Amino acid sequence: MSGMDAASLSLADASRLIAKRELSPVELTEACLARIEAVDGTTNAFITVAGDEALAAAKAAQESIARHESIGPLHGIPIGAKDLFDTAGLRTTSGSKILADNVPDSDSGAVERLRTAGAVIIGKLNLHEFAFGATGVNPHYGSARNPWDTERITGGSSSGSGAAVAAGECPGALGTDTGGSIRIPASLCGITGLKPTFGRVSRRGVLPLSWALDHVGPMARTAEDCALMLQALAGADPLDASCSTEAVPDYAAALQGGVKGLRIGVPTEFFFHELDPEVEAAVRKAVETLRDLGAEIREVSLPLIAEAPAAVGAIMLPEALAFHQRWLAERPDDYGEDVRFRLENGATFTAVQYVQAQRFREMIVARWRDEVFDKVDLLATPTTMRAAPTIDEGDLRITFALIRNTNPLNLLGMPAISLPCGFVSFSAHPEEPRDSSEEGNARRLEGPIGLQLAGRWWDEETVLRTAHTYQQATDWHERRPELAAAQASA
Amino acid sequence: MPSTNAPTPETARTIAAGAGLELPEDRLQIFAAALSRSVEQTSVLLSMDYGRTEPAGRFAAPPASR
Repeated sequence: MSGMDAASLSLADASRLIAKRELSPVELTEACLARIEAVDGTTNAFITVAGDEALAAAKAAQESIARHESIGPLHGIPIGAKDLFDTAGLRTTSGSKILADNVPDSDSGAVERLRTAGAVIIGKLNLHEFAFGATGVNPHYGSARNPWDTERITGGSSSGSGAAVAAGECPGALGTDTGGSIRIPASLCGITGLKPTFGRVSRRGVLPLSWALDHVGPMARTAEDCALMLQALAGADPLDASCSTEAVPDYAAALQGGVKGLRIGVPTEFFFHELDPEVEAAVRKAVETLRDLGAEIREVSLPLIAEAPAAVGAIMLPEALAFHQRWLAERPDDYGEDVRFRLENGATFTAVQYVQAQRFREMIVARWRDEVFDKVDLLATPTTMRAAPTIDEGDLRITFALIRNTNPLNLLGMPAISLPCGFVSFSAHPEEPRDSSEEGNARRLEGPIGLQLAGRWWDEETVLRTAHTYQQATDWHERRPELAAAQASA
Repeated sequence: MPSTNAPTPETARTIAAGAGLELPEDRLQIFAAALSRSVEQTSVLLSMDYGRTEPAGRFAAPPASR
């Protein structure tokens, strides 16, 4: 197959072709590097491309496979890592000026596990500075741009991960999620992103934002792809005490079985309030599709949800300031304005507020365990309140619409996935003046909508199975932005 | 803009200093307004009855699996 076609494959499809020797890791890596060369000047997804290292790793994988030493579905698959994950010998900036020259000595736990599974680390992906923001607008490395409309944000903080996967620059990427930073860019870029259960994946070697809320997870084109990545990522890390020893099931096997009889809850409050009407319609239609596939749909009330955002803020902001306090005192002007503002806000919380927020966290987890997940197996909500805003809409004004539906689930620590379930017509938004210029008309004025599915703690299997079943019945995840499609046919 | 209920600059300066921050005058005004918002937004956390609920542990392990 041609090199450019290979870069359009899902991770799972590429893996199957490699296993059948119809595609080699070197061909696939070369195809991804060619795509990066062709489109990254537009998407700005990568901060560092590790071309030589990736080709060397792909060659080694190819030789192993030729010796019949295949070690699993990620063997020879190029993966991008958000530039928050330490990579031995490879610059890791955290999207900041402060760490612009930081070169770690060792790999983060997640990168280490991907390499052990045979994956090829192809480069380091753009992000919101220090992962502390939901837009991906970055004053130091430039904003990652949404491949569906490059005048719009990707969402963040894993902005480059969202853009790179959507544009076909790599079939999978690592993200982190403290308030939605995997699910938001997955939603806005039309890909699939999974925040696993808190403690499911090692955070060793990942620059912290908030120790109580940080999660590591996969971003890829499909739920199946995420399952394959999670299989490599999940499990105890003796060097990370926050990483659980909970048993790791076979996620690929768990994809089968459908959703017949599964009880899916649709929240009666909070998550569906004040949505863009097109977003609400798409998500409700997705829920109907799941009903048609055999799921039982129930309305469900969520105790304490209204208070959850206050607790998230009272934990996240002081923890972020605690980590950054010395740098902020010594180098305040080296931070972007929005991140500096959020960090300084961390000092507005008292210790009592912080502790009560941690007590609240225990209460809400117990209430949802006893009063929500006794009635349903899964929750279905929109991922974000609206589709991708334009880059010049600013940060603070739009952040609420991006994080409202995701950040309570960081407090709860349950697994949650975002997957594409429709498209919004940007020109239909009254607050956005229609660009009727020739250039404006030439742009594709639509963008993806994300469905969020959240399950019981440690039950990524049901979350992934439901997402996979939905993707087997729909084609939203197969759509590609014109940017990527144009390059693929070049 | 600073809230009408914002603390005095001296109070705001003292609170910021308690977190290791030395804020210039312009940022101090913004910080003082943020202090007021923070008090308002987290008042719900301070008014709840937690009973004997203990704070989440260092790593806040979620409930045991199904």
